[in-house]
Amino acid sequence: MSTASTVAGAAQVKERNLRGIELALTLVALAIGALALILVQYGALGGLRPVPLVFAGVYAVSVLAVHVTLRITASHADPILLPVSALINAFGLIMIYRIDLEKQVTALWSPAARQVVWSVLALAAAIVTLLLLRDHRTLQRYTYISMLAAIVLLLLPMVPGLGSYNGTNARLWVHLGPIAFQPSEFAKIALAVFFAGYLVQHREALSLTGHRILGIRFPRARDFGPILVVWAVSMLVLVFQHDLGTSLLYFGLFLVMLYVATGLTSWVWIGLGMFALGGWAASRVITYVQGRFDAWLKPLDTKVYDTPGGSYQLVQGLFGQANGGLFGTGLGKGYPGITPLSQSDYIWASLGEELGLIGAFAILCLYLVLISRGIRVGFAGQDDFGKLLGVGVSFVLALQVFIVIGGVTRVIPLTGLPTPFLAAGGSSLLANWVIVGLLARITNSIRVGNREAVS
Amino acid sequence: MSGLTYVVLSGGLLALMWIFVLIVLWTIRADLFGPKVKRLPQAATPPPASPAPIAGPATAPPIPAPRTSQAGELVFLDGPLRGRRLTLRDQPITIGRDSDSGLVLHDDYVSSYHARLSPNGSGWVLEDLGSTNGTYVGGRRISGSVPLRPGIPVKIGSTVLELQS
Repeated sequence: MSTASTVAGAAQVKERNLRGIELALTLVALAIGALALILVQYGALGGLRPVPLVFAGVYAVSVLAVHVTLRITASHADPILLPVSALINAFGLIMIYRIDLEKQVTALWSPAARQVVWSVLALAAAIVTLLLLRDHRTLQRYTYISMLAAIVLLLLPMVPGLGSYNGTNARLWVHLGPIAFQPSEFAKIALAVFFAGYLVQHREALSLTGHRILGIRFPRARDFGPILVVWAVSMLVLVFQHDLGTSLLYFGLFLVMLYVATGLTSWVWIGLGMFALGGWAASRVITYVQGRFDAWLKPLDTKVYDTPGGSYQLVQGLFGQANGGLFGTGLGKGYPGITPLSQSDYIWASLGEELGLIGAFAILCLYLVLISRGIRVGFAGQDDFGKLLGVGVSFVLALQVFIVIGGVTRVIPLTGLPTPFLAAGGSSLLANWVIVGLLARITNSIRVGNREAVS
Repeated sequence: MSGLTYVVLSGGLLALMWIFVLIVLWTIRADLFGPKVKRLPQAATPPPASPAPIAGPATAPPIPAPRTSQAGELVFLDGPLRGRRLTLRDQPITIGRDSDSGLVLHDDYVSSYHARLSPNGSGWVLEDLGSTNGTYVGGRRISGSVPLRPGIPVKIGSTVLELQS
């Protein structure tokens, strides 16, 4: 009806050339990436090498392909998502390349080249998401299929013969022929879809019923069931896959989506209590959790430092970041490769060393802006499913950034999770670019909805 | 490349990264600080900036402007649409949870067909359509229709709105 239409927040916002803004920002982002690549080459080699520049060109073309797809299929999507994610991804590529140089990896099929290929595939995944998913609400139909998919993906690494530790201390990997991937990264999207669909249906029952005890509203037993299931699955992950980070990630995602859907803080307290209890019990039984706590609390203790799997890596990362200081050593001039896993889990410390606190904080700001755009869907969105999904997938990014960077900077105990968009690894990149595609789709429908209301 | 050029370019990179962050923030400034509003700035501030007080008359005194028609504005003081405004035209508007309503309120405490606002001569009439949880005008639950004067807060579910001429 036309009268309703002029809800004025929407009407006052001028129709802006969103895709033009996006293109301009993307070009600036790619230019920053190019400058960083040139600096790495001069810093580490003293001259330019042509092959990496070709790889960079391939990456740039792929990013622009996403931009073109957005122009065609989601012309009102948020213009910030693509350039910001592309810039973070570019810094990941450059840092992985830089560590290749330090380790004198000369093969063409180096970690950096692999990461470029994965980035291109991930950008293609974002394009496919945008092409296939013309309306994010169709995902609501697959609520329970998503739950099944998530549980299968989460438990897949435990299948004998398929799952492996892949040289790390978490059983998180699945081998399919020559490719090893981390199904947990895809599980987070499936879980967000499931939680959003489930909570849209059940939030009234969850928020309005139950008994009040000591001012806290306790849910009914049957509403409590799904929470117990999610809690049990994350505990299983913790115990059998040795991965505190992943289990924290999923449980945190669930709690936040519950909170957003029902607006009840009591759920958050109950959930945190349950997780703390489970984690405490696990740390008694499983030695590796205990080891992580020790490394966090007394990293410079000689005994902890020398233990295999002790605090050596953590301390090397801290030394690296300290070496970087405020302005960094300059790209190509530090020694980030000394830290174990400096291209994946510890890429944050590597960036911190060469870009310094100032550069590292700029990247954190990029994450902040990206995530804030997703959280914004929570109050700008029109359909409840889209709101919950938008908040869910962006919160999972936020929590992941916090868990990884918090671990590397010794704010919280270290747990191995890939840093979104930065760390070497294909599964994580694919999943995160699919999330960008989803957010673009949801923000597009918000603006289209507002515009239809105005006309 | 000389050492000096390298240092200058490295500094330039850090500066560029922050300039990029600032440009991005500039493009989304409308979402951070709210769109520019010419009239009644405090009522139209978006939710995150400052919680608009519910007490309607205190914040937005009705301005007795020369009126040519019934054209007015609904201002949302609280609830999911807080901070937004709805321009009324010279025709009735229904309020409710049903998607057929002229003003759709997604709120479990709002009935499908909750209330109707209709122009009446020089003013507006608010009519409760038999809602379950009631329509409150100036804090009192109404039954049937009452004339609605500007600046009186109307509570429907968790939404508080008022008419401004």
